[in-house]
Amino acid sequence: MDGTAWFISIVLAVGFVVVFAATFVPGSGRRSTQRLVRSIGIGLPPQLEAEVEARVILRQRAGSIGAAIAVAAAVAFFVLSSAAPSQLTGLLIVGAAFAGIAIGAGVSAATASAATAPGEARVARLRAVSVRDYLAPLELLGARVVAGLAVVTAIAVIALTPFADGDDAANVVVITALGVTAGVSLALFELFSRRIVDRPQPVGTPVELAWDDALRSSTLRDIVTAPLLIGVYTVMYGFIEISDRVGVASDSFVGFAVAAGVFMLVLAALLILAIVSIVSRPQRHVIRRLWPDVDVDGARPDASAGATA
Amino acid sequence: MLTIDPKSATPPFEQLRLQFIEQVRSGELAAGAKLPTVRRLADDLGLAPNTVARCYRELERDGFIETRGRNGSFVSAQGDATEQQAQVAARAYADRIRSLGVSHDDALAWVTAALRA
Repeated sequence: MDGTAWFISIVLAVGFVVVFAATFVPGSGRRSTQRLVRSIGIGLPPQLEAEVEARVILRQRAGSIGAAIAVAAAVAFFVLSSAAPSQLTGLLIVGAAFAGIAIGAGVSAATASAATAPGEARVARLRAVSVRDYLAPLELLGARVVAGLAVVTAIAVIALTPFADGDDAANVVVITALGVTAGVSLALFELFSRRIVDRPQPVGTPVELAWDDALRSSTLRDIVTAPLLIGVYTVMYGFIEISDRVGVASDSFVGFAVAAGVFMLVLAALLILAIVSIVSRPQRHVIRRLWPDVDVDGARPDASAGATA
Repeated sequence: MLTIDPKSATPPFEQLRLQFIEQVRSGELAAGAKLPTVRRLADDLGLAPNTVARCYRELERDGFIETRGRNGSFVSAQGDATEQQAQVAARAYADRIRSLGVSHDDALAWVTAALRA
């Protein structure tokens, strides 16, 4: 590992330890919950604050532990293996951190116990739900497409290895590892997302159900970020490597120009998708989909007012 | 939304069945809507799976729901053949609107305008 990779690893490790420690500071859970309330756009009744805060803190702790372990594992891999140093190693360590957050959040959500007092009234929705109800199409399809593209890109980079030398050869290892991480992250997302959505929702009021939906959606968004971002990194840096190799292989400017043009198109498409995703407020998709009568985009953030899902 | 109150004088099975029928008749549960699995609904409501399974069987016998093998249970279209076709078309429109992310107000305005045209 080179100096940059060590620097990134140390910053990430310290950052996740700080995030983990911060969850024990009084008031941090409340601030995180308030941020979530603003992003989701529905009101949080006082009687639910403690429970939602506890779940937010649990997810933060699990995510930071998962990320710290993943970063440590990635560093150990590069230190113990004979892989040559690459300028992209730091990128893989960042990718490992995202995968770790996803695994931590997924495990905590898939194994958390949920129970209501026996003898109390229960509410449930009479319509089956699926992952599509909790994640915006752009994120769900985007993760699948980008992770798939990442695997294909990694295979293309490996296929063009004979035309690599020096630092390029070291980059092949990192881009291959990124492609594998993107594929594994997608597989983990598919596994966790189904388990989380299939878990029962034993609640006593529609507002509790709306908040359980919101927290599930938030967790799934944490998990889907891993294949999405790692896939984007792999495609971007993979295409840079491919354009280099194509230039070397074809020994002409035309080959390089075509590869560079394809890279620019991919980059533009990713940028447009990112802007569309931000503008469409994907964090509110779950409420728009499962609680259509709740006015999340207007001035009436009250789930109990229109809970008819 | 379905509410089961264990303190009610009405048995949970009957509460479930009556609310289900009411929601199908009122249109709140549209034709073609997929229902949760027996186990999932039982876990959500704190009922025995046999209670929910029995309710699903009776609702199927009475024509409110239909089971499509391993795909699960779905709300059946109600009324005569024309009404059933209309409900299926409405369901398809609603699914498309949902996938497009269009607001309910816009969707209703457009379908109203189309009906008036």
